[in-house]
Amino acid sequence: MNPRILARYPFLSEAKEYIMREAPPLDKLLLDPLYYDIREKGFSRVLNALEEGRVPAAVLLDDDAIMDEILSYPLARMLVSSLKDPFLVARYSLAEAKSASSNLERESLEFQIGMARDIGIESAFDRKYLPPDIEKKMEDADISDESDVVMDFVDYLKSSSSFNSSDWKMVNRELVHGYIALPGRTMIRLIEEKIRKRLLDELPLPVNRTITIALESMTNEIKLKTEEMKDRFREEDMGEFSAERFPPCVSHLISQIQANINLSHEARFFMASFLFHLGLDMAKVIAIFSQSPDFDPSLAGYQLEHIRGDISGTKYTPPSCGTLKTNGICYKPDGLCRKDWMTHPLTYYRIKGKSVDSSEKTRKTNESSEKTITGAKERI
Amino acid sequence: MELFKDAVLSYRREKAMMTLKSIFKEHYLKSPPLMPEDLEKREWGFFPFRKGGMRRHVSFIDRKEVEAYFVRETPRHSYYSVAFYREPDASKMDEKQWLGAELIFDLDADHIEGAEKMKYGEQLKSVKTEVIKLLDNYVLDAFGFDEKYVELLFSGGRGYHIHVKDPRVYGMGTRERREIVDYITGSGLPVEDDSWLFPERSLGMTSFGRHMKVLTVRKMPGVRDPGWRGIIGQGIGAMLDELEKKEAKTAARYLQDLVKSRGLCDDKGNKYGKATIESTYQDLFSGESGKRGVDKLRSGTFEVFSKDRNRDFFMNLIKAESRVNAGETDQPVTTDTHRLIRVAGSLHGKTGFCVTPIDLDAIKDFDPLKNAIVLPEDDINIECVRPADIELKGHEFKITPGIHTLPMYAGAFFLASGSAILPKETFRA
Repeated sequence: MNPRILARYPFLSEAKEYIMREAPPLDKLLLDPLYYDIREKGFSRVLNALEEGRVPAAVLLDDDAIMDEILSYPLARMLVSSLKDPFLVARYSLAEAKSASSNLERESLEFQIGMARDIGIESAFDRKYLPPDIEKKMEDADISDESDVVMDFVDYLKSSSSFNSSDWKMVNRELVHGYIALPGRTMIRLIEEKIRKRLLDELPLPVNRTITIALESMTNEIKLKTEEMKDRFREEDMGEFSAERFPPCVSHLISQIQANINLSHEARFFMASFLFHLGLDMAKVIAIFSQSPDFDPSLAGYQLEHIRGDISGTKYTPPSCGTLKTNGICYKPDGLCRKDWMTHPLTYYRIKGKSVDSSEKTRKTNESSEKTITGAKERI
Repeated sequence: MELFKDAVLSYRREKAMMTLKSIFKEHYLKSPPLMPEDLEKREWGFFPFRKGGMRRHVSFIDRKEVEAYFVRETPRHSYYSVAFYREPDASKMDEKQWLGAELIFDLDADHIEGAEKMKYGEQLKSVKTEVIKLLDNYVLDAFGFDEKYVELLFSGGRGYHIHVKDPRVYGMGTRERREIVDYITGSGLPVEDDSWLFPERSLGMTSFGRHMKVLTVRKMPGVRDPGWRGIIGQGIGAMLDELEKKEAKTAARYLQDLVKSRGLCDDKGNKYGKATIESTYQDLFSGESGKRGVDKLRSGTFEVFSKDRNRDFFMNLIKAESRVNAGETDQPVTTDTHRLIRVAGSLHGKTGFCVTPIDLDAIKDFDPLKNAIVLPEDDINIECVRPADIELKGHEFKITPGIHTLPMYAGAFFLASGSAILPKETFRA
């Protein structure tokens, strides 16, 4: 493969071979002034990933630039691995995957399919060039025109299983005799997720002292940035408590309590762990539950303390959207719920906070419209 | 005195179990259970005849060890894991080191509507209908699994198991398996979304004087559509065929019953009345054959209705009927990648029937109450403690309080199911 291409997709197996072949000895790469540019590129790869959620776009003017670009990838991995911070690993893996997928969108279908196979979707085929046995299986179905890719449904399930949006459910897919036809852009999303997961699995790599010492000044800076970003995320996290930010399932459960309908055990557990996670205190949570018809204050108190972790020391996290769906708690998912990356009711609350906050600023006068269930707004 | 009676009864029940155990032992001496692939990588679990919990985390090295265990210990119920482990006998899940698992479907009478009112034989019949649907429409057709990887078994109790042993599925986790169940049961189908169920296609522009209008037509889910739209399309096709066969009056009544049983309403919550139903029927079936509404509908066009209300009624009818071809399967069994499942060729401890493998082609003729009976014909005396009846191998067996002489397989069934114990003299001797 052309090195120019490897520079855009340095995680490919072929890029590894290039690196083994072309890279200078490790100590030179880490210390020699000749390779200063590569180290700088690796450093900005990580910083950009942290701050922007993308790695910097490659400018590939000549062969040297191409080599710098490719070698900046192992360097970035060393930097990330030196810190061993799960937040950094997650953020970096996502950024590499996102950047690769936006590059991939501009490639030919043939190239995209080659990439899919390289990354583990081995059964990906161009619908126009199917092997005869698959062609035969697909021929009695009216596949839609926009579906130009075909893959084995097991491959589809394995690469889409972390997506929660209903669009990804197999009931919404063109499944024919074990093969799924889908648009190329949908496959790119699957590839992106595969890349992200691969990096998450690989990182952090073991790093020796030579590496940590040589990269110390860079890692110090990254560490500061990482902490700063963590704080920013945490602040954005919950913010001011507001019922307007509840996902539809929570609002629905609250209205059921208020309508004197008994909740299932799973629904109660979900509500309690969710509310505790937002920082509500015991009195407030009990106040909400006390509207329930079979409310028993002593029993409820014990159960709630258990969920909060007062008794066992384990604080329970509310269940994910997947579990809520299985338990029949998921209710009328809205546009935000249906986003690919929406996997958890707490994520909904956090994101909704951002959008509500920004619209709030524009209509400050209208503050009375904000609903809070306990009537209290508080900082958590 | 009552207390004493209870003690005697419970003693005699225990004796009955010991006799059943020796019947099982005799059987296993001649017919050992079937060995699963990679038996040394499986966890085995057993319920003994004596009271007590399940003995789990058992592992065997080879066939000989398994056979010896069945003869020596003779468990009442026998299971192995659908999973393969590096250390199958480790007592904690994370120490077992999971290597993969077969994909399992389990269907029993609990999943059949109204099963509680049916007799055992009827329950088995309706479960069989469902399992054929699951096998043909989903396992083989939709998922396209190769028959050589698909194993079908009668569970020995009230249902069937399907094992898919395609190596591709071994690595699938719980979430992937849940997706498979959701596909089978049609959960999460966006049937309320008209743009999914009846997508609009633009035919171009047309002008009325100075006004321009975009002409669109809706597309029906067709039988050749891929995925669930095709499954729905087949359901609609079958419904139209059904209507076509009927006289106008009976067809209208059939539709009325559907409206009633599904509680079909328009967007304002009003029920569809007789007039709408009859006029919709006219839209579909009046006229010259080949040019009727239903013929156009079958070719995918939706523009056959004389009134919007008729069209809306028909669309709502399809939505309500969209899941008629959905399959049934027990979700927790399929999604549990550590599940223990009955050993093929072992005996079910509550019936004495064999967990029987069935050729996929032979399922239609399979009769569990004949083909899963493996215990001998020799006579056995039993004493009935609870009236019961069953038809086995074509013979009706009916027991009422008192002593009965029955073939072993029937006697064992009543002992195993708790309807009978042994007469006093039998165990004194």
